[in-house]
Amino acid sequence: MDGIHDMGGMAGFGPVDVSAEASGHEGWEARLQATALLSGGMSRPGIEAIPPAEYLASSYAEKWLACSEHRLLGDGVIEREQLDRWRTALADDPNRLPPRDDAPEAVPGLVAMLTTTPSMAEATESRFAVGDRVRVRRMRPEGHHRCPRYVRGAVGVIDRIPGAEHQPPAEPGGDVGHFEAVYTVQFDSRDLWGDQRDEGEPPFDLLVDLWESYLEDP
Amino acid sequence: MSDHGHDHDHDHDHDHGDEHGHRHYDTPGSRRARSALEVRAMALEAALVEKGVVKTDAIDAFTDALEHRFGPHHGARVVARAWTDPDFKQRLLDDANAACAELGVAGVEGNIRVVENTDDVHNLVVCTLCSCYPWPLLGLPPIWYKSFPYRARAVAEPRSVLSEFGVELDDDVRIKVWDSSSEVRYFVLPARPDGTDELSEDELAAIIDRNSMIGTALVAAP
Repeated sequence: MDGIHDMGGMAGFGPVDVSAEASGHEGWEARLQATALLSGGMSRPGIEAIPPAEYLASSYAEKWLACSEHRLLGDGVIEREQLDRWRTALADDPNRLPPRDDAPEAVPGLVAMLTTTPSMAEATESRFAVGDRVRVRRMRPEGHHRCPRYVRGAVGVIDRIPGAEHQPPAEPGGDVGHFEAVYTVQFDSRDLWGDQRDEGEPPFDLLVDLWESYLEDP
Repeated sequence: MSDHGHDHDHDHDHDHGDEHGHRHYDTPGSRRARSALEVRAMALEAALVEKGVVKTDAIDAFTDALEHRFGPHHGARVVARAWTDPDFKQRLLDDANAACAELGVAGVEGNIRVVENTDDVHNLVVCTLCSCYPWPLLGLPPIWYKSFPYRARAVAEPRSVLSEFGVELDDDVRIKVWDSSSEVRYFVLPARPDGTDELSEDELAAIIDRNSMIGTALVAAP
């Protein structure tokens, strides 16, 4: 979906708040991230489905919460009544905590998964080779995808082929897409933004990872 | 919970007895009141645990990994080793996952490609579409990395962004901006500053800050 999340090249957000050094994940926000990932409530398509005005007005944690609540309620995994009841109880009594239910036998497997680097499949079949010039297709995909708008139509050069991956699911909870080569494509900034030397930006390189079906011959 | 309720040394944080895994939430003894958002997050956990969907100790373990097993101290160790061991550096550039594993650094969101800063090239990492970041080496990203201005501008006006971080590069330094759009996670090997020849690997690791491994800082000699 060509949504508000696709922010590369947008203007108007002002300067970067470089003092915002904290992760914002200390304490409860890291715990929320863990909860959202473990429950399957969090997904990129789900975050991107948040309406644009709400997306812009929400903090990072708020987006994770909204995405997870929407998905888990929609799938009937949890119930509205539960959320309302617990919100009231936890807001009314500052000593109250969520209930505890452990399954210690499952923890070592989880920790092993978290501390194992997922391997990326080798690209055994690839249409393009390192050094090839490629053009990013013009398109308007309806579901979730990973092709930023700012490179569409531009010509770049294949820098590397890191491997092959399935295309990500188009919808929250959907099936993964076509399995294909992923390319790191290098663009000259002038092919994306024009010559910005007068604005104090000498030409630079942009490298973006793109699935094979996002690309065509130049 | 004591006033060090957010201290990383949570093994000693037993004021709630078997509830110690909930240390991430605020209670009256902690530093601040619960926000409405925090209450919402707690309610989500409560509903999921009540339904048996997620176990509390699984959430504890996952959170612990995000906060403690991953982090920029690992990235700094990798950089310091690369600065002092040319063979390791070559392995790191060729196959970062294998080289990091030599130092015991591995994990989800950790399919790494290392890009090297030199006299002629400066690398900068961003994720314009969300917040992809090399968790095992750097932990969870800082707020600015996930912010709209950084995501929007790093790919279009990197020198302007860098100057906001206090980084000014010579005009003839070529900037390479890496937009993390697949499952590859990019990690910058910063340039070793002059005047550090006498420093040990551990001393070097201590001067390497997180931003230098994203590309928004240069490492300075102590």
